[in-house]
Amino acid sequence: MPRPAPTPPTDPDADPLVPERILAEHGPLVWALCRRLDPDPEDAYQDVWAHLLPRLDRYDPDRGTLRAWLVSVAHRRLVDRHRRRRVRRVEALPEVADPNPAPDELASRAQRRARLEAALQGLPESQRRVVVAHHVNGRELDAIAADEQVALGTIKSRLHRGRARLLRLLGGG
Amino acid sequence: MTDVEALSQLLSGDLPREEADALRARIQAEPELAAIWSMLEDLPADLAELSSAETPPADLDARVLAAHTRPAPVAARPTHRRSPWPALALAAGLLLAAGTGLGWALSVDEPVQVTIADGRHRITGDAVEVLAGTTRVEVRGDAWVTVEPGHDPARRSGQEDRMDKSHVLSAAGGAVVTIAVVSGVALLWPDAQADAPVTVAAGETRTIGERSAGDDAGGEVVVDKTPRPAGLTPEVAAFVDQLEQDNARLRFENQLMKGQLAVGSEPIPWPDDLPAALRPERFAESASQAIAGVEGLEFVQEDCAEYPCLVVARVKDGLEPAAAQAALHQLGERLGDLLGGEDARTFLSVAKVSDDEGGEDTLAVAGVAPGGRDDISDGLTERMMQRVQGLEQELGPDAPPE
Repeated sequence: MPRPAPTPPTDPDADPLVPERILAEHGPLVWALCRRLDPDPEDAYQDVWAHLLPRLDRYDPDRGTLRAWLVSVAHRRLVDRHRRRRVRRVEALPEVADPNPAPDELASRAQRRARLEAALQGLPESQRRVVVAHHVNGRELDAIAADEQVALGTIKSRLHRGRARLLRLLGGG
Repeated sequence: MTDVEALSQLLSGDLPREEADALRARIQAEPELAAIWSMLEDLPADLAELSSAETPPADLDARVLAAHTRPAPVAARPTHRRSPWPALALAAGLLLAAGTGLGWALSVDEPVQVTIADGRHRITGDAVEVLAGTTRVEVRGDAWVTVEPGHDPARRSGQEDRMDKSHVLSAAGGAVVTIAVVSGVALLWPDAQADAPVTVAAGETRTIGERSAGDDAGGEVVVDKTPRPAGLTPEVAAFVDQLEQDNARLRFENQLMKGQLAVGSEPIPWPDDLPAALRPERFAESASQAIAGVEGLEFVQEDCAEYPCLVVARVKDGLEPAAAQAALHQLGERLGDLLGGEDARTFLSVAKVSDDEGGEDTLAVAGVAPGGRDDISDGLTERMMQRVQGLEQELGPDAPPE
């Protein structure tokens, strides 16, 4: 019976790319992506890291920040998961806040964010991925197109449709 | 393209100059459009304000790290079957018997040995030898193997909780091991001295370990023994035991219903007394008529490869979710009517199908069979679940060309 070779202990302080440090620093970023873009965020989070951690040696600092690289790889992984899943069960759209909120509600930034989060969940996944990656995570559209393996025009189309639908869900448009 | 989409293009500088100028003029002239434009202009900043980082749930990072320090999982190789509906890029989860609880699978085609420790693991393969403590299990099919520390009065039966994502783990000793076979069989050697394996068949669970002595009857559902208060009369203790047994069995059946366990099954024979409208030669006509009477749905295809026939319907574009749900409910009722007043078991599976252009279709797969809604004893529910789950593999992007 072959036994797995033990993994050598690592010193989190000696190497910035040790998993413990990466997770502590960038886990919240990946989690936010998973929560917004995958119907099973906990599974997605573990899946993304199971994919990322063995590939940390592929990160090239000359080509960008670690954060940008992680977001890019995580996004591609989530796209892959979406393609594998292909289909999601139909679930009722999340309740979006009253489209005609009182003025004092509009004044509340927290409530505004909550409404926006809920509206994001009302977007089709393909549109949500583009809106989140572009507007929340600040990724360029051509990079998103490369991740999604579709034409830039398709990504732009998804962005415009996504914005339009967001406005409708928020009570405008 | 809608006005709002055009405004979005204007915001991004994607509109040709002439169109952009015309739209700007409209914004000046039309207050409603100006209000939408104002909201749209604020949208990027509002979205940018959303937190791009959030703390993941407790223990999640620990699970990631634990999995990372383990040996790499055996390479998965998906299996494929031919699709009964090749035209549809469709996979679905039954609403009645949803199959989405199965989070991952270790799938292997070659004999392999793995050693696992605490946790709940799904093992799939033709000959996967699993070592858990002193217990050896050979899985020929699909099984859950749950390893729990010994001497833990709070441990659970291993059929309910979501499995974590651990794959192949380090060795464990003194463990209690529960095997729940989903399909195929598992051969179980309780310890190194065992001369012959115990066979655990599909749908059975078996627990090996300190607690299992004496109550390891084949095929029984594992029961959690909660501590008993002192002074119970034998009658009350027996009554509590019976309740626990019933509760465990109900939990097991509930997991079947929710798709967290799937029992391997065979096609159900066609009933002799099935109404003609539900027989293969008539079903396409019956189903298309049923769908034609439901606003918002259109007939796509039927599948009568086995009992019962299923029909695929598309929800027309633009139908609001509430209206779509009402239409699907109506479809179920109309299919039930085909039984001519008999009690009907209606199966309805709904899925959203995405294409590479970002569009989505909503498709429903529905079927009907005689019987009470709560009757799951004949294996039909499990069979329906398997048929739909199979589609997910068959029609995924890796499926071979038809």
